[in-house]
Amino acid sequence: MERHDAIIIGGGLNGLTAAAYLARFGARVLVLERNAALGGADASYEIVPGFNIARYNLGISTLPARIVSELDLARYGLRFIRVDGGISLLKDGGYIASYRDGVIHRRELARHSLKDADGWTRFRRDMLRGAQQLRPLLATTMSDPTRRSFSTLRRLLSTASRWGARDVDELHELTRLWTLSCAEFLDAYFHSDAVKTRLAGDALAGTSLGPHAPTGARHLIGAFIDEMATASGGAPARVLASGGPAAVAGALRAAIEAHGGTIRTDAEVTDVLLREGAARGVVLANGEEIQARAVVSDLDLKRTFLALFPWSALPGGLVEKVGRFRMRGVSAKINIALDSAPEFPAVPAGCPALLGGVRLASSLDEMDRAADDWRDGIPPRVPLIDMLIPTLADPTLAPHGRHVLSVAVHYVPESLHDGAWTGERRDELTDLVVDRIAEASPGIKDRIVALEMLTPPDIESEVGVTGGDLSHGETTLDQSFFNRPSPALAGYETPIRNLYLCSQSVHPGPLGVGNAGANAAALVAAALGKRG
Amino acid sequence: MRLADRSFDAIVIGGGHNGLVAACYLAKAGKRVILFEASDHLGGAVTTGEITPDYMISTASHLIEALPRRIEKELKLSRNGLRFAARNLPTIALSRDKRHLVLSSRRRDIAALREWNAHDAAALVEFSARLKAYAAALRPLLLGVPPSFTGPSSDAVTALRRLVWRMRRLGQPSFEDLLRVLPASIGDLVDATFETPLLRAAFAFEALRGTAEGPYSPGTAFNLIYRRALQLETRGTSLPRGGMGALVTALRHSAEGLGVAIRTGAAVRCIIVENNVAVGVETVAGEFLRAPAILSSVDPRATMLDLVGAANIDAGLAMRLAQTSRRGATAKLNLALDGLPTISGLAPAEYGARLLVVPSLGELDQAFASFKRGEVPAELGMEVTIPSVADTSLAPAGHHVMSVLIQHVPYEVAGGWTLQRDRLLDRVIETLARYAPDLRARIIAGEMLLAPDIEAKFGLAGGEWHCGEMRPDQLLMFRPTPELARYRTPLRGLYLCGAGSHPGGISGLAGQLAARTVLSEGGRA
Repeated sequence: MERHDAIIIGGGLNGLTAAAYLARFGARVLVLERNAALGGADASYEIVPGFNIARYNLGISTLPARIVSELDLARYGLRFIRVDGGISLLKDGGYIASYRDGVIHRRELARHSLKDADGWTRFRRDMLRGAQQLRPLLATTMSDPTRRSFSTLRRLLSTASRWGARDVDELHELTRLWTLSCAEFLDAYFHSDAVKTRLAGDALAGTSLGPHAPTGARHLIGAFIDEMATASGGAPARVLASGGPAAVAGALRAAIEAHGGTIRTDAEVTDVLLREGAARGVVLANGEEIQARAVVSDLDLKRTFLALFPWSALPGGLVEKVGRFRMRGVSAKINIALDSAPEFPAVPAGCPALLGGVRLASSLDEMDRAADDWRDGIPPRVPLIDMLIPTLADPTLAPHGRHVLSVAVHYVPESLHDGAWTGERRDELTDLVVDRIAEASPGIKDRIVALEMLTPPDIESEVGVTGGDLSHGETTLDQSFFNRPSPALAGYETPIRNLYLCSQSVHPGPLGVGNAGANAAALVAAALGKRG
Repeated sequence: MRLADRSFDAIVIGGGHNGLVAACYLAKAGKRVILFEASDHLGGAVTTGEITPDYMISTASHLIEALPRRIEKELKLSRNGLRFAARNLPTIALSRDKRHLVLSSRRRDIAALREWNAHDAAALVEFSARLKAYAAALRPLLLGVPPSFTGPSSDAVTALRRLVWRMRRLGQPSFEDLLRVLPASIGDLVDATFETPLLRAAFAFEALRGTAEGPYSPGTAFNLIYRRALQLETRGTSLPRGGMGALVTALRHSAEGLGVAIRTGAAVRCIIVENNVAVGVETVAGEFLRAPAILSSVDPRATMLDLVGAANIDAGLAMRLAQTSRRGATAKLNLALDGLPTISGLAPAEYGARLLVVPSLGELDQAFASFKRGEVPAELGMEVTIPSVADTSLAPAGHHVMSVLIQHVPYEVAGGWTLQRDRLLDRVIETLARYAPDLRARIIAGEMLLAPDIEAKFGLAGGEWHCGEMRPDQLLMFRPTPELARYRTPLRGLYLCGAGSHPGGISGLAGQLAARTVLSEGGRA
């Protein structure tokens, strides 16, 4: 029987990151991935031979800069391409672009509203400040504030003292940022609906919140997390991995293997081995048993506890708590191979922002309706559509002159109010989206070589993530920080000894995928006595 | 122009219930107080009016839910004429299938629910207990002077440390639950708590009443805790005899008994500021009056921007005031009826209760969607009282009045209210008639107040009943803005004492806490 220091269940980016850290710390790690490809929800594939495309996600990398440098991923061939923030096409035939260059970006905003160019300077300053406050938390392991111990009490009291000593105006700004809706928060900076729609789309795409939902504004910080205050003052860059999303998983794999770690694909874990209430290893679908001193799950919370354990083995109340955690997919994915570059007549030829993607969302009101439809279990009638043509920045992803078009369709419910997702319903939504894309890019339909649509249930059945929820759980405040997924579980440890969580179901969730893996690895390494 | 021939220690601007409470407490402490009210009657939106001759009703708000016992007693409201037609009003959620639900955890009501749904009976007992415990834990923070974060008087560290202590004392499971509930939406909370659709919808409605949010808006679960905290100080929901105006009359008598000079029909034109000190007021009639303390119970925005004037405050404050959110979402319908409508399935003794007419949770969410888009919702959530059941003085013998709060009615609608008013009215009556089929035939007269009417009639901006929505960024030390919280203003001598200051609600607490603040600074002023 094989023995390892740590087994990582699931080869998603968090699992691979955890494994890479553990391997660096000197632990013997084994990654077990159910599918043939690594990357989990961030996997990519060839839609037709030679056309590489992100299968489930849009294809933007959010791997935190600290992880890239700490794991020295550049050494394993990982290169990033930084592009402008993208373009939104407006209903009136116009567009609004996000440029990294501050002068150009402000000029772009001024085209929509003179005042908004100044609003941007204030907005960016406040976002960078918010990101600065948030960033350290992403690399921090949450400790359970409800634990009845003297040290917890002392920590809580000192937190209270720290917060009580803060300036009230600063607290008010913070409260506004963390509790207001996107729309209301943006009103304090911008006048133009186009500008607000653009920014709200950046913030809320992939969440369950509409622009008028309270607590949406905090998602505006997301794009600024790895943004440097010294950059030129424009919109945050979008980051693509050179060679596509597979390159990220590939570099992590190389890093793991370089430190003696093992990765097995097509290896589905069906059970966690328990002895005396502690995890001792795993059982694979083929019946093989593998032992380890620690088991780290990159599966989502529900799948980890409800699928890998007999419920009777779980401590009282855990099943209910896990059941209550809300995981509902919000995005569908359409992957398209094109035989030539799509044209967007509304956008000036050669506009560099095109590299960052094209969004079809004409107004806050339409976004809001789409979000309401999602809650009602109705496929959005006017979906929020995010497109990325990664081949513009990285031509190696497709044969010469050919392109791939990655389309994320947001506010798509996982379950429909009037029945299941059928092939017919999926085709209806596909047609609706392709028609909308064709309005913005005439002639695109004739360029399509291949097209594939994945609804949230499709994503669930392929990736294994419950509800097809790419965020591993809704990112509302009641499911964030020490509430993600619950105070007792937010610190990566579980009531089952030697079992750890490292997926996005745990703090900090989808904010920089890889953070949870890195944080969990530090904890596991310490438990194994392997601190690097 | 003549200077007043009497001198005063304090001037109170605005004769709403908070203004009166502030005036009373100052007078009780021996201060000479004068109160100016612009309109001819006191009370603002807390008032009794006539629907049609001989049919009296609380024009806007219709129940006392948050007036602390302490204020009732200290201001001797009972001796000053306040009588209650009913106290401790039960709340009943009406059901289409006539199985109405009493929302209480009294043994008898729970037994009735248990026959229907045993899980929910247990859940309701547990939920009520949890809510009460959370409200009790947060009460000192929520109902006192908000903590001060700056300067030598800073007590925020103590306040927060005490909060930590109280939350921990709830016990681990409750502490954990509270941390999750505080930022949650009421929809998610009731979905996870109850099975019965009516129970879910009823509690969602309770959390949403008076807000501009929907059941799945994050943060709405907290509203339930906040309301519960306010109720901890009271003797339950009460119906004053003679309508809400009776509360104001009693406050007026109390104030007059304490020697407060009350001037109605006397609008203040401006607050006179000299060297950053508020020194007096000028009335519209051209009268000047000086006093060391000036308390305004009118809207903070109007106080600072109109009465003090933008020239006397800094630009940041003006901007923050302009930013405060007040989206009116509640309309009011008052009906005069020639008899008691028959609500099928309701016991005779229950007609005097606080009745909730709520659609399903999903429909409530859709009502909110319509509200956001400036449309008349298809299904409406309403709170209904028939005060004449307990208070026969309101209508001729055998006749009745009905008071209806309608939730999720926008300030503006597509097409304008002139066109849509009747549509809304129809929809309200139609909805009510599902429970009381003979209602339509019994209507003698009625009046409907939409957000713009409430704004025009009571001066509440946006038709928003609370003088600033009750949300995390507009509560406690942020209410109405950080500079104006804790009843003080950047101008020495000027204080705020109205519903726009913490903690809001028809509690009189803002008035009382403002008066206490003024008195504590007595030496300086």
